[in-house]
Amino acid sequence: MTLSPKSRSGRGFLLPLFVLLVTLFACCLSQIAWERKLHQLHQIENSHKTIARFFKGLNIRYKSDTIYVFIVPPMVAARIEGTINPFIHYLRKQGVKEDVILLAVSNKKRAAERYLKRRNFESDYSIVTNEKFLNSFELSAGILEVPFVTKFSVRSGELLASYSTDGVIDSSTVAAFISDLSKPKSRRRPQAPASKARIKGARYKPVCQKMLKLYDTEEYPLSTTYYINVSPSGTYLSLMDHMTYYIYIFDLATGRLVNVLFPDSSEEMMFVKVPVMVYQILRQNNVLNSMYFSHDFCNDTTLIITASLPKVVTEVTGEDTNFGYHNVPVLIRKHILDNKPMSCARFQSFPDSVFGGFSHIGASFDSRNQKVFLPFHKGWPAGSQLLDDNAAKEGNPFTDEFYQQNVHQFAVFNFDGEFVQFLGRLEKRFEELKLGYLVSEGFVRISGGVYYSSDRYSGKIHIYNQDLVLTDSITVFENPPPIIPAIDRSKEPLRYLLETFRANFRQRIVDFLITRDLCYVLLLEEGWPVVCRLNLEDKRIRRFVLPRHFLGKEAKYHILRKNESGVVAVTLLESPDETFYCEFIIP
Amino acid sequence: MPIYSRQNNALADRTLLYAVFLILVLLPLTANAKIVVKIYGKGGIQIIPPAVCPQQDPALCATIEIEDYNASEGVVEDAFSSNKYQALLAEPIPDGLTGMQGSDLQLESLEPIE
Repeated sequence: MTLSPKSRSGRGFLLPLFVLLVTLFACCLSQIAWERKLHQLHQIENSHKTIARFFKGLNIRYKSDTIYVFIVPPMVAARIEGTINPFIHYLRKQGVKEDVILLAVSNKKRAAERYLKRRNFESDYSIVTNEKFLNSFELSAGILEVPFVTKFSVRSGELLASYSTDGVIDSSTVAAFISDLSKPKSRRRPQAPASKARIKGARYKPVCQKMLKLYDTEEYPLSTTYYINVSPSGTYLSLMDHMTYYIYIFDLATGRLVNVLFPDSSEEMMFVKVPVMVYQILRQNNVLNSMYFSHDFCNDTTLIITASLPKVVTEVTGEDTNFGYHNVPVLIRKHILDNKPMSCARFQSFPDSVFGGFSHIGASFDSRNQKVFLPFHKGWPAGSQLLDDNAAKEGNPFTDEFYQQNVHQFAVFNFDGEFVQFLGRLEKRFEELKLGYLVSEGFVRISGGVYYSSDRYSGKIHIYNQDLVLTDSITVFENPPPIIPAIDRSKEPLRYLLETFRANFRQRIVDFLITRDLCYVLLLEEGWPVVCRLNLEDKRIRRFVLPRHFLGKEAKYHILRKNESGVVAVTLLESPDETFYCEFIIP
Repeated sequence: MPIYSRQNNALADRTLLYAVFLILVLLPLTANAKIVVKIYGKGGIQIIPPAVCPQQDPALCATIEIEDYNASEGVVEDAFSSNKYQALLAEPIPDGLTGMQGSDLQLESLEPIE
């Protein structure tokens, strides 16, 4: 075979052409994969100047106009943060010389700074910025839930590329990201602010029964919390800190931090069965995370806590050997002044016939009868991808099959972690709207040996007797007729879920408390805190609108509690650097 | 100036093919040590609290390829070399700890590894 000189000289470009084709192919594949990602970040049009000003304000001597920026919600997706250092490693290895910046996005500056110190990211600059930074972006989840790696032009402030770091992080992903110039723009404006309609109810003039500053420390600065408790005698406050997943114990007489409970190394290692070297690597890269969540006082000095401990095992598939990292949900008991576990029980899995799982993050406890109530969940949106057309119908909330079986509200376990039974059913409204288990955060309260449960959104409180048999219900509020947004759920399934949820569930029950003849319900309506006082005899309801701010601080209402002076709303008054404990007396 | 003359093209082509061959064959052999970690958990979208992945779930949240690690660095090594820790590692880990209570568990409270 002979080749013409022209064609021969053309083969001199064979290697570059080959490399180019492979790169383009990888980019196309990656682009397709990225577009199917659940978490996406787009820049809102006309926000370039704001972002350019922001980067200028950081006073960094940028090496070039392009910068790589990790946008991180601290500890929201703690395990996914384990992708950041390997990503930086691949960037450097593939010749990226530009600055790599990590932005920890939080309004809690001190806590976020401590977090950065603890996590030891390998970025050139690690900076705390408040949540206003996010106003220039649209997030598919509505809020920042996972770390994103992004690329910006410093001068123009333009977002050149973005990629959520859940999913696959390897050398080819990083190579594709380096060459990505897709400039993801916002396809629509962010959600309009909540309705300005006046919230019904008497304006409540705050009567503060107790208020004291919570004195955290430099080592353990407070961030935010979702789970708080007060000991039966009112001596101690316990709260789960969302930026450490530790439980802080405060003395309610002085506000002093008396102890911090955290998963020690014996707990962290309990389910890890890999070579020591692998364990080291995972720790160095922030992959391993043990987490404490909800908890309750068994007595004045003992806490029962739900936790996720890492289970790392070697997985052999064909010729591939990987390491699988699973969460093991456990129930741990600790004395509030001693970090040594008193007991540890692993939650059993459901029988194989049950399609679905449970969330032990927000558990409800019945210490007297040693029962734990965990919200049941199943199906999409789970994982890191948009809804797969081939997904099993039982896991697809848009199918009728999803609602035919395994539609429980709670799974009940005992304190040994043994599964006891299911309780309640997914409320019909979620089925009518095809929302599945987008939210599964119901809770249970016990009063006079009777169980009361709420899914938080339907406005119903169901009553169960001691044998967990449904006996009655209380209606706190009625939901208006369903609203179905004009969104094609086959094309935009996630937007359908989120918009439908927002349009139909304007109220969320935060807590309730049953006395002999009254039911007090603390709820958030369009962001406004409201307490409903429902007379169980004549069904009359009185509503009190509580302040959203008090003494210049944001008021975050957590639980209702009965003490010697009546019912109080336990509230944390928060500013970026300080937190106060406050009890408002409910009329 | 041409990179190579027309007479040298055949040689250059062969060299190029050899180079591609060597890259394809030797690249996997010379690749750096790496491990692949698959992170499982529900993931998805969490409304309140916004905590992604802490549940037990077979859904795959992330896959991380970690290479060029330096296993001998850091203070973690010291914690591992401690007798207490080695003893803990030597213990067979039960598949489930269901029902283990108090002294049955015999957990040694070690200092956290920072």
